[in-house]
Amino acid sequence: MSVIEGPRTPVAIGLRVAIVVLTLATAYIHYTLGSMMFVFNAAGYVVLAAAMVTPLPIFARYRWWIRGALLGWTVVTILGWVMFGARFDLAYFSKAIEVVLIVLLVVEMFMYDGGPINVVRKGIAWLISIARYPFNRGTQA
Amino acid sequence: MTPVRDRSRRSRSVVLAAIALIAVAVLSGCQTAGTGIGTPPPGAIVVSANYSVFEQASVQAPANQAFTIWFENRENVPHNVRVVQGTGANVALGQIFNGPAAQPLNVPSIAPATYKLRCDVHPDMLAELVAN
Repeated sequence: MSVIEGPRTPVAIGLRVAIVVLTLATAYIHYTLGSMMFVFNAAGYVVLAAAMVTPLPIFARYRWWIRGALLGWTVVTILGWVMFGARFDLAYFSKAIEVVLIVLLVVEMFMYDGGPINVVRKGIAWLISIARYPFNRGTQA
Repeated sequence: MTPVRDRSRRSRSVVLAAIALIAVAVLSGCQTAGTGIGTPPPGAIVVSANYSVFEQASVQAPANQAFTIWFENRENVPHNVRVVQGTGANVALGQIFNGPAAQPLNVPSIAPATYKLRCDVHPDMLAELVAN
């Protein structure tokens, strides 16, 4: 099972590599900031970066979900900084990385998932199917 | 080129690379040794940060006269110190910098009260300054 969902073109590989590198870069910056909140944020980025390139069928099947989660994690990180964050050079650098990361994730969403709106639709359908699962199971039994 | 000459050239470049590495290590060591935390000016109130907490839960300061906070950042993590009134209004704001290093923060004359010390990078880093 390939790490890349579609054809392994140089653009697709470069895009995935760039996403992972930027994710790990912002994770490292947050890790260096010390407190539990930042370490937790960095851990989230590292887990999602690993999930973006894990070549297992289950990860490949839910890559659209992982991409959405990474996008959401990045947006929440930026919003958290806008509301409570300190304004200094390293923070601006980190936010620049995160903005580029969001752009690349959106590009990947258009390449593989039909765009961010389609991912949201898919996510809602997935959540509904999970919520219905116990009831469907009961019916089958 | 003969094998003997080739080998001697290779060993010379290995020695040169080793010397360069040692020089870099020595120079970087000198740089680190030069960045001490420094000595607080006389009469300054010392506030220090380590492991992303202020090491002093509470510090005393003179009311109705200007004073200096000597802020020691003891770790290689960005910190600053901000003095805030109970209402949330700013009294003094220090620069964010990485440690180990120290910077003075001049605080203007303040009324007797309890103020908060905060780090802008770490909102959970809090201490109090009692002016009396």
